Amino acid sequence: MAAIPMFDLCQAPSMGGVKRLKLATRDTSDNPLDFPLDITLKVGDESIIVLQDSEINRTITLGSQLIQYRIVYPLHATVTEDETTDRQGRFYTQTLTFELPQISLTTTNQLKSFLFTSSGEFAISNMVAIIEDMNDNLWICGYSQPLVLESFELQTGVDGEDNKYLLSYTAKSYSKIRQIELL
Amino acid sequence: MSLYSGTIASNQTICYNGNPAAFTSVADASGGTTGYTYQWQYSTDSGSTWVDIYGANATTYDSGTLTATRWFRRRVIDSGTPAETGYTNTVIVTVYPVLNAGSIGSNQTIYSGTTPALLTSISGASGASGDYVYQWQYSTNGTSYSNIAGATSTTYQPPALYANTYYKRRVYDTFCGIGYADYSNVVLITVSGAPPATPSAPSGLTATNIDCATCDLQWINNGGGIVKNVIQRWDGIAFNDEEEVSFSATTFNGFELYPNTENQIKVCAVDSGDTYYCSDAITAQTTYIAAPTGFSGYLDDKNVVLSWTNISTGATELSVYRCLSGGTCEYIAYLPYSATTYTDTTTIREETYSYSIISECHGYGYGTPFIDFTIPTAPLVPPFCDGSNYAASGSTCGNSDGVIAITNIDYFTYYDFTLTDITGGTYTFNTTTGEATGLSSNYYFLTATVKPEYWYYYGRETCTFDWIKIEDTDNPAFLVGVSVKPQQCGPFDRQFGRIFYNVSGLTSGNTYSFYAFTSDLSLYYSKTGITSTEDFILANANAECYWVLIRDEVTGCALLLDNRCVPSIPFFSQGGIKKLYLAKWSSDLDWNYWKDSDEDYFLEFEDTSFFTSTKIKEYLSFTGGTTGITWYELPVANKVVKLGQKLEKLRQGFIFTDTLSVAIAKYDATKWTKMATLLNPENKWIYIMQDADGYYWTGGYLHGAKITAYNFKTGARGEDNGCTLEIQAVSENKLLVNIDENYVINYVE
Repeated sequence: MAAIPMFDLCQAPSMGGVKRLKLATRDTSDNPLDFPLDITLKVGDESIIVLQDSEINRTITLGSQLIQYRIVYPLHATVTEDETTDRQGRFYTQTLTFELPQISLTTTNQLKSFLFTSSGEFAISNMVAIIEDMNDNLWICGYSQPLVLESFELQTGVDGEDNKYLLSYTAKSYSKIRQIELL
Repeated sequence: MSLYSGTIASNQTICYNGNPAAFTSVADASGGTTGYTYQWQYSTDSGSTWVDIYGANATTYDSGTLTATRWFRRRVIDSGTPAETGYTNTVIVTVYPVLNAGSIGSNQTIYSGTTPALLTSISGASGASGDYVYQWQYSTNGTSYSNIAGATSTTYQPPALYANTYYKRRVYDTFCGIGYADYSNVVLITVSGAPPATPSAPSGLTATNIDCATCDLQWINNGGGIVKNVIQRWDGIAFNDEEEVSFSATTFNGFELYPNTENQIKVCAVDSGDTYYCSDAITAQTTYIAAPTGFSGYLDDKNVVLSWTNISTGATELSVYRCLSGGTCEYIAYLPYSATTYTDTTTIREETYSYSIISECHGYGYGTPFIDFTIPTAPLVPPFCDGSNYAASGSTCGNSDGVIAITNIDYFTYYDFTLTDITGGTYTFNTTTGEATGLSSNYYFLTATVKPEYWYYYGRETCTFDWIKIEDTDNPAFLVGVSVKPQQCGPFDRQFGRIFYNVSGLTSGNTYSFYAFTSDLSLYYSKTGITSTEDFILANANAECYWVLIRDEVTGCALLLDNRCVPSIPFFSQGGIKKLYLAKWSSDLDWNYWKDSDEDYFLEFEDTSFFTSTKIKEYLSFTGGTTGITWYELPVANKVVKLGQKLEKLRQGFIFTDTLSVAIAKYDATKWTKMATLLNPENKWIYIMQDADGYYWTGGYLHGAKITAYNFKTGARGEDNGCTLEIQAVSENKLLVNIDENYVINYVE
């Protein structure tokens, strides 16, 4: 009996990279998101989460939550997901890293508003991210356990480098990154 | 023996409502079986049907009064078995119709002592037997009447009377007698007083204020008995009635005369019999009126200049009469009689006009002969699009009374013009006046297109004068100030710009509409029913220019706020640092954060989450002023000097650490001394850095920055010679802090 192909064996064209990020830490009432998020799986395909997206208003409706987000066209963004098995069991580590060019007061204020909790204290807000990769696949990361700011750095460039912000988020979750489908 | 019914009597004739004599029994019933029962009966239809009369059971019967003819009989029934019934003869009672006295005419009003007109019989008596006797009666109080002796005919001629008198006519019928008399209607002769005196002709007729065709008349009335006055004028053949006035009038103003004529006038008193009693005739010579002489004219480009000489002494005004070549004529101007020139500026090129000047007086006109002018083709004018060749004049609140005018109507020869408003409404120009009228307060767009036949001269290019404002000159609302917040697109998503229009002078209780248009004339944002100035805000504005219209929904007043632009923070970045400054830190150092009052676009009702700790306005020395701090500028060596800020997660919490890397090239003794100061562990520092994008940043102000690394090396052949430093500052929980460039420019650089 011949082997059954498990994946696509024809090596379809593919590009690496992140085209666009949608990052959210608050609902539309400006309250921090409550994790795990209430999600709705596609009927008959549990790999896909369905949601509604209004880009003009920068809001998504995910389950019963109305979430506001920001669209970021990042530089040098990567998303990774690693499986770890240890004595306690198995979990997934998801990492989102991206850069924002140009250091400006407006961006600093935007980041402060995004990162800080609504009380103004510097406690990092938990984040969920929707990732549009270069193959136009849409992914959602941090819906079960949130993405937490792992590192934040800004730096001026030397020798032709950019002035930029560098942000890295990490989530440890039992759930894998899922694709999303827009209603 | 058979039953014999007997006989009754007798036939009678009576007047209306008369009582006939009782019917008698000429012979009672007999025969049959004795023991008779009588019943009287009557009929109203000659005996066809009979009706028993209740209670009439005797041998005789008295019927009472009757108003119509009836027939009677008596029925008898004997006592036999079976009973036998019989009837007497029938008697008839004939009843005459009711008497009607007729009517007489009529009421009159007479002067005391005069004889009234004959009292006529409108209708004679009728009814009864027809043999009537008339008798006229009179009364002075309308209540008690007396017979007038000898007045027994159907009409009556009263005598001369001196008091109000009532008359009526009595009639009775000879058969029925005076007891059945009837009376006509009553007529009243009203005596109104003494008769008027005998009329006579008016006297003292004079004419004053005689002009070209009218005069004022005065006269004296003589005698009474007239009912009106009539003014007559001689027409060359006879005197004719021209005006009719009341009998008491003694003046008449504006009596119409024949112009340039010696008019003859009379006044006549007219009595009730239409007899004329006329005054002597007088004459009234009207003042002279004639057409102007010496009428001529010439063309001044497209204007026609006319001149003439007046010769009349009686004209009241002059009119300018103009006819088009097509035959349409009109009065184009009315001038005082003293005028001797007129310039017609309303002509159209290449049209032919005929002119006449008319001396006018009370509707009479004497015109000059017509002279003609053909307006020449327009001379070429400077291109419309090269200058401001239009003018706009304002409107008033709620009215469409604004005007946009082309300043030289010759442009209509060479160009087609279109005028539209911001909502697409179109307006047309009057090519004679050059004006587009009926404009309400709004933005307008004027497009000039060269007519094809003049492309050779002006080219084919059209031009549009856009955003022309027609403003309400009486609008109480006005703009106090504008606050503009720039837009930034990226890197961390968009941040819309914003324009707030601080408008004052609003009318309390009124509601307002707010419209913002972009340069492509599209409506970007609108809101209606506004009652607060805080709503005159264009939030979420893209980086472009806006034209705003604020309209009072009650009065219609519109406020135009044009061409306010939202700038965009440029989104491009150059890496690196341009300038670097250090100053000694001490615990006395103080600083002021950037406050909302420092921000140009801060709005208290909008910016509730304004960050005040991400920007410093100024550093203050221990003396409390912005001076007193010594700043040192450090060289910014290529490829080495950089600033970084890093988040560290510690057990105490999250903190940011700033690291500044500095390089000093070509190290020598002089620099060694200064480096010693930097390296002195007792010294701490604050820094200000300008990045390659021009923004200024600062750090170390909270706790002072310290030198954490120092390195000197000569470098191998071909390598750098110098020293490098690393300066670190703990910024607690603050992201890299911006500093106002004005402070840096004024106190650091």
